[in-house]
Amino acid sequence: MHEGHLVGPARALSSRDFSASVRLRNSARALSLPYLGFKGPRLGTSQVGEMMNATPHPVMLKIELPPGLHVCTLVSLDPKNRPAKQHVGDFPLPNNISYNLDYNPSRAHLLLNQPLDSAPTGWTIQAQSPWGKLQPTNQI
Amino acid sequence: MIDTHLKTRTTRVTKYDWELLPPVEIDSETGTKAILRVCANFRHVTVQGTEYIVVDIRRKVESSSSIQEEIENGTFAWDPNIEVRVKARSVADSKRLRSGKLHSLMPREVNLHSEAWDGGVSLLEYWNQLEELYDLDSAERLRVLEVKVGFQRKATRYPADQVYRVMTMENWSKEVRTEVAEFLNLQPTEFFDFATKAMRWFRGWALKGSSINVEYAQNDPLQVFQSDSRKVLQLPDGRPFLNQNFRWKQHLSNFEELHSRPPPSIAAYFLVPKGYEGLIDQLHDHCKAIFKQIPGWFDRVVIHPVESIDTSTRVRAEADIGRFIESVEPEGRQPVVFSAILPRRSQDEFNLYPVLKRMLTLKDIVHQNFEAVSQNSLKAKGTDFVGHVNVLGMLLKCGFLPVPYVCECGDVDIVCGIDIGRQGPNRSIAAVAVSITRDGKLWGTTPEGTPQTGETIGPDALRNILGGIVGRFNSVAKKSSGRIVILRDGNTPQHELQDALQILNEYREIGIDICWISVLKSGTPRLLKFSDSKLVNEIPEKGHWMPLNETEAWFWSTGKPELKEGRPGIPQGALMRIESNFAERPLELSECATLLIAQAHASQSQPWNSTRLPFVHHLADKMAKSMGEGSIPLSLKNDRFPAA
Repeated sequence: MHEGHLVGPARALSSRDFSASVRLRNSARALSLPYLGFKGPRLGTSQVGEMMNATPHPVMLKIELPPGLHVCTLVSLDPKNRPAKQHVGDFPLPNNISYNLDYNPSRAHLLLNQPLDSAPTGWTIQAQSPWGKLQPTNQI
Repeated sequence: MIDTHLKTRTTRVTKYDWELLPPVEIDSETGTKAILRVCANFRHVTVQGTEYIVVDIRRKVESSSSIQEEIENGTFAWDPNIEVRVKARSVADSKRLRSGKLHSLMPREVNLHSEAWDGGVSLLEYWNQLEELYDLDSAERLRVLEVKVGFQRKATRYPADQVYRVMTMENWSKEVRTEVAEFLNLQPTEFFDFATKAMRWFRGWALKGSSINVEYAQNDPLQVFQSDSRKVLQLPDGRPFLNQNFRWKQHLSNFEELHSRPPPSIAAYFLVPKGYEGLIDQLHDHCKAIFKQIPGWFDRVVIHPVESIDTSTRVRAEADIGRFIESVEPEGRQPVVFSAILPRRSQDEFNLYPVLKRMLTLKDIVHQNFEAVSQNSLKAKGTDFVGHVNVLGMLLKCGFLPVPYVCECGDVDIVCGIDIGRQGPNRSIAAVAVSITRDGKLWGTTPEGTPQTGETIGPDALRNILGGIVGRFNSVAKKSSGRIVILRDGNTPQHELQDALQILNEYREIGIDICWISVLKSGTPRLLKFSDSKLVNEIPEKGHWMPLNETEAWFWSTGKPELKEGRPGIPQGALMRIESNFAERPLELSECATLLIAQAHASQSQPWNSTRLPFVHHLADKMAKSMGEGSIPLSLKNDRFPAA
């Protein structure tokens, strides 16, 4: 069995690393973007770090939604099985923060402040749960 | 939610891509015009229960001349076997371009007076409903295209001047390449500079009054692991397969020792279109550069004189190629044909390459083509470096794994890559599986007699493929039970997975345990190095992986040491998802990542286009693509890989 090892603090700074980091600091490409207001490092020339203890990390943003959100999936009851976009025209969705429609099967996914007590006319509730409990798989 | 927010910040380009820089129009000497777009790409993911947005930077090139203009100036060549991605304008909003695929170029008889859809109004009426776009003259002059937009099943008719070609790298002109160069092979600082600009759009993101907290993820203590393939891959005699720099080409010089036999003696033939005989010296250089890579091989090559073929029509070319094939008398040697073909320039020319490749492959003749740029010059010179790249393909075409390797990871007997060749719009689809045993025996399998008709592998084809793999395994390994890992290219659709699980259960009953893994190439973030949350301008080492949950992980097989400085660039990973694990001794995520990374390192051979995918997956991808294009037959009848 081959187990990966956790990438951690690496090695002592060598003279080669030092010259490389000096080159970086002197680089004409030094960044000059303004501070963006995120929690995190200030963007600017100080953004370029030293090579010592450097660890790999994917480039992404962490997001944290407000608490108490719910996700509800509604399925269309349209006997003609029309696309959800047309069905919404006749049977409006309840108030929501955001929604997304599936073409086939004809469904609507709603983001809500609180769960629905009952299904709106023309729809049936397929699933309902607090945000984060019913996460889609990372199907990309 | 992400889309709703981003719409307030910038312009959408495609489903996941948003305009980061203003588009640039580029004129080329050849008369074509292109638009370069630099886009930011965002995808929502959940990693170990926490939510993130993956941020990536893409450059996209599309033609700024419509297909109608390209037809008129002779730069558009319609080939139903080649997928053409397009952007089509909307009637309702002329600024909006929708992504799609060209389904067909309608015959000249069809024009804007024809119906926009069956039983509907004419295209002329339809497109003139908001403003007078077309007069009667243009209605007769303009060609009509059928385009499949988005996920539409039925193609929609468009006037050809409303549709624009998306250009792949092969279509880029010199001027486009120059302009795009600025955005290729970015340094980590440059890449992060763009990414940060895109991340800025999420500043002030709120949902009905409640703000959404957004932070850089590099502050998070995410677990990123590293797997060292140098300890995993071995030569059959137990020596390391990879040296300290992850190179394995040095073993080519021990070919006979590693394969227990020499490569085949070669009868080399040279075939060029009439008028291109001046290329023969350069083809000889390539021939020599390839066979010189393995000691003693070039001494066993017999060189035949150059032959030319009439390419004025496809029938004449096929007749000449047929006559040439009849005349080949290899006398116990492996015939290899070197050709030099100019890429097709216009719609009126037929594409000689797939015709020649297919005819030769059907007769078990190895084909190696070099792209001609003129009657006296090939695109690539026959240097030692080019010879080294090409000898690897030549060996695979002749049925040899260039350097056999042993991969004992996870007690897996066979790793198998399955891919579906996405053909032209109106064609069926080819499925192909490439398998390698733990000790480096390689073969291909196709579901003979069951052509594919969709984007999934049907149950019959799957049974045929798995039957072929298991049958071959039984004869190679001389045992009836084993552990097979299937790597499915792309997302495995639910109904295909249901079929697969049923079949996998049946195989488990007879002692063949199968682990089914989906490998998704898109959507994985780039990997950069940070020190105390600050970016370090250095490419991360090869072989990192990160678990997302119990069954999914991202893996990054490229990185330092690069094969050439800056090549490949910032690691671009892939997602692996264990859809169905072994019933006995299931693979742990760490074993799975180690296996896939090691298999990828076994195929990284040269700097320019080294794959990030496992070897069999990469080879299956190449084979399926060539089958889809019609340049090799849909059935594999031997262990050769003509598409290598």
